[in-house]
Amino acid sequence: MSIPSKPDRRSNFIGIFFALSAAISYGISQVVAKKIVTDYAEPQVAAVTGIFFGMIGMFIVGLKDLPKDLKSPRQAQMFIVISGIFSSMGVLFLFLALDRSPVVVVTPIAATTPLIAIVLSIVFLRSLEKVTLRVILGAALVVIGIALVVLGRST
Amino acid sequence: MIGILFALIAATAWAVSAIVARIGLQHIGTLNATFFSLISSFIVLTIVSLAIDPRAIFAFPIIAIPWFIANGTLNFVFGRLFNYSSINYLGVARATPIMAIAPLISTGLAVAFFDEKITPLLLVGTTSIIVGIIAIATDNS
Repeated sequence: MSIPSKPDRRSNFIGIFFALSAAISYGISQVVAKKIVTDYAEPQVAAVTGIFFGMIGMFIVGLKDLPKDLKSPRQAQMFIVISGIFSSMGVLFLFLALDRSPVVVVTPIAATTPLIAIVLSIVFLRSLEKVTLRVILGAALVVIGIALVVLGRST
Repeated sequence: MIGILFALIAATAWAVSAIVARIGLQHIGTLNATFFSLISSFIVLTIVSLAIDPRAIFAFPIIAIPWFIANGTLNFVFGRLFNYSSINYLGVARATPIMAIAPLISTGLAVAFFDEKITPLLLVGTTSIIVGIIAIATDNS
């Protein structure tokens, strides 16, 4: 499926629904992960086992489309594989950061992902995405808000 | 100082992950894009985990398995699938700030179920997040 360069109202609504659903899933999973690392296993074990079961789940869910997607361009597959590698690198460096600095310092910095993503999308996705001042300001408000929530929770 | 650098590297790694996913998703379905990305994540994290402590990876009680499955389903089946789907529909610049509100969700759950206190900073932060999300969601360009 190609990405619309200018999302219509329906795509916009679906996209926001998916983004909020992702945030809710990640938010609940943080509570579950906290329970795991507190009571049952080391953080790296929680991460590996979580991905293992997630991989099995996604294999089952995506099995029907797998033959078609395996015929997709190798370059596209490589980009997705690289995305997975960078995603896991993010998790690793977050653990390393938390091991060396307090959570009130680390979490707000780690929450700057949207701002970095916007800068990168301006540089690398110029032909795919139009980034407006409104989106930049909205992202900045979200990042500031996340920092305040983390600080407010810690104090 | 090194902790701050690592946190910055983590943030950059996630941003790069979203950018390259956006490029790849033009030619591949989100279901199997999520599956392929989980394979590479699994390989990297397994290698690192084995390097840290090879025995720890199998040292957990059986009772933990349902929790692992719940974590895997929430974080990787739903989380990453919705993540890629939102990038597909909205683009990186608009999807990533909305997905970044996950700490607000976990804080809300902590307040609701674990008796954490609501502080003024929490309220100001939540307001800032909501205004930011509305600004992004109502951007018509």
